[in-house]
Amino acid sequence: MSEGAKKVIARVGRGPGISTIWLVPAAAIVIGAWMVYAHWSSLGPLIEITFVSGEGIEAGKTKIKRKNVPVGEVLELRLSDDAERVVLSVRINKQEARLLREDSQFWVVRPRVGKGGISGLNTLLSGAYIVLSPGSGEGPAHQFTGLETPPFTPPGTPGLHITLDSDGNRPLGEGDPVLFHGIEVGKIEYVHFNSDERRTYYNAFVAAPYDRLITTNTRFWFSSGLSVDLSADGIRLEMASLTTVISGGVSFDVPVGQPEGEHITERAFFTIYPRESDIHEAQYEHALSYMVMFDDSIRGLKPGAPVEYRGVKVGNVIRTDIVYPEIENMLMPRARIPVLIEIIPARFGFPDEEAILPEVDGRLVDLVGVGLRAGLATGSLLTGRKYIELQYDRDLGGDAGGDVEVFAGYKVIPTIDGQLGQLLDNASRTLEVINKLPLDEVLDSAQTALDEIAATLAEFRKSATELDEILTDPASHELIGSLNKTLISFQQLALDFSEGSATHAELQNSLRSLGQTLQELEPVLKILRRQPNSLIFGGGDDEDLEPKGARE
Amino acid sequence: MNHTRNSFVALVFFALVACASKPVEEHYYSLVLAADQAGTTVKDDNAGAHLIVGPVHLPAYLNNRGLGIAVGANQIRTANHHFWAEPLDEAISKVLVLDISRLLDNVVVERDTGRWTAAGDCRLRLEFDRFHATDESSVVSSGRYWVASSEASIGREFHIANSLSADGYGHAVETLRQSLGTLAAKIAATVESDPLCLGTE
Repeated sequence: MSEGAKKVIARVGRGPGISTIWLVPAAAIVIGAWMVYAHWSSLGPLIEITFVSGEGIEAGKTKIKRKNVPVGEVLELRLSDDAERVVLSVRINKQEARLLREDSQFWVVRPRVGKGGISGLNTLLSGAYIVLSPGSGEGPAHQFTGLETPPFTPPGTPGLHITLDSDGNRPLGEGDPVLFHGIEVGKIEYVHFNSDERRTYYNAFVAAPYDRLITTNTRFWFSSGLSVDLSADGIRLEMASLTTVISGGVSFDVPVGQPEGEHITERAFFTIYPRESDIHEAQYEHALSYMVMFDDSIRGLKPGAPVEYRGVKVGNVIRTDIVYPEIENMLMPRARIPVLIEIIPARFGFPDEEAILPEVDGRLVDLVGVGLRAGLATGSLLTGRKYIELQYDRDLGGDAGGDVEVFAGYKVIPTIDGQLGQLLDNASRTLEVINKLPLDEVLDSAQTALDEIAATLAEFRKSATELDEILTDPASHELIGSLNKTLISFQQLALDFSEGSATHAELQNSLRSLGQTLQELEPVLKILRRQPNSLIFGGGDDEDLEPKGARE
Repeated sequence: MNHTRNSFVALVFFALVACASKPVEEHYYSLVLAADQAGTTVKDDNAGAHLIVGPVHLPAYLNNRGLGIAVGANQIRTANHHFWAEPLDEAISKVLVLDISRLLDNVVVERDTGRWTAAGDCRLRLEFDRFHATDESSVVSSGRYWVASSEASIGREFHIANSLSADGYGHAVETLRQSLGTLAAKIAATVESDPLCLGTE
């Protein structure tokens, strides 16, 4: 290095700092973050709904609706962990999140054919959708189990929930009607068979204002629509409306003669009786049991047959079998057949209380001492059903308070002569009466009457022969058969499509839906006609003309 | 060759994407949601006389989902992106049930749902000629109604026009809902003038 050269020392100084160019990416990051936040904050809640089947549901297409207004959309379908159910991920609109309560319900609307008719036909055009029925419980909730069928009663419907039970001989189905005087006032919502108790329980809902008809004294019975009862009273045929004959149901009322009782406001339990007539029988709680020992045949006497006192029903037959330890065998010439009966003190006018039973028992024993006897009587010649009649044997008489025979722990009411004896007695009395009749005059009149009857019968026979020819004609048979089938088909068709039926309503909804769809398509068709390429490039006049407010 | 073809396809694709327009959003409007239901209670079925509302007849041009706006004296334009959320006749009857029920304490007002009604119940039948906004900053409701009891029928014409104070279909629907309130008051006055309907005779 030369001497003249200056020594230059490089000085390390501070640079100008971060370049302003970095503000651009920083601003981009802030704007991007804000956009992500804005998008995230505008999203509604994401919920999960579980269904047994995903039939008709499509991710990104199936809507969630409330009163036909879309409130959400299915984002994703997947199987549950055990692959037995379908789990839907659903995004609900933010402003509708308030509808998500713990008792909110969801179900899929799709075409269904059920007992109540055809429903969901309009989804053939629009595709299946899910209905949201908001609850009133705690919220918000995010996990729901979807219903497989639409609920018969939406949550919050005013009315009364009740539980009915029966021995299951005549099962009802979900959706079957609850009837009051033939008017449908509710529905069976849920059916459960308890295998331990061998009983069927039904949850039913009675809608307001008819829930006021349910009181503490209300009784329910099966209204199958058609019932034939062969009893000691003869043949009884009951037929309800045609709708009830087809669908069945359960009816209720307060038994005749009983006060209405107190209104029920919370879920109550009732037993369903097999027939309407049974609700009147079920109002007494206390009864006395006696044994009646018959020497003759008891053919035609069944459990449930009435026990009458001077023509008034005072009890029922309980048992007619012979399975008692006291009976070794029936193959003895003098063996008697035991029949267990119950006598209801309340039917004699006594109060229906347990305390009254000893007093009534004592009086009946006294009456046996003075000639009260039980006898078999024929209730209906047509059915051959028999009943037990309590009557006094005038020839006996005696003192009250004597000893009474006991069999199998029950006091025995003695019997009077068998029916054959009664018949002979009645026959002899009848012969006496006949002997006193003015037979000659009667026979003359009878002869004249018989001649006239013979002439009438001859004419009737002729007409009957002609009618028989018509009826035996094979063509008539076919015609009547065809007419019957046609009438039945027409009746069913008329029921399905009559005004007020579910099918009629569905058809109306479907036609309305079709009309609306076509109306909504109309503007699109107009645009396509005017501008065919608008499918790709979009329409030129998409904006609607909107109403304007008045300017000051 | 392949390179050229791919470039051409990409060019067409981007051209189409660039030309595509943004889809216009659809809007749904409900008269029932616009109704103030606060304080409304379901009356006891035995609270008094019954008034069954329905049917509501609408002209064909109102029987579709798109909202209508009258342009000039005799022209109607139906919106392509603004719809009623439920059938208009149902919505009108629901709103009228709400309003009339509030005005008549001693009358149980309910919609005609086809269920069984007693022979003595009064019926309200409506026929609308107009129920839409106009391009002159107003909404118009007009038509006639009949209140029929078992023995007599009273018919009245109505024409209700309200001016709009703001733009848009949302405000127009609110104003239409207010016009139904005015109509409900007229109907309530008619029912009160009919002793057969009130069960006072």
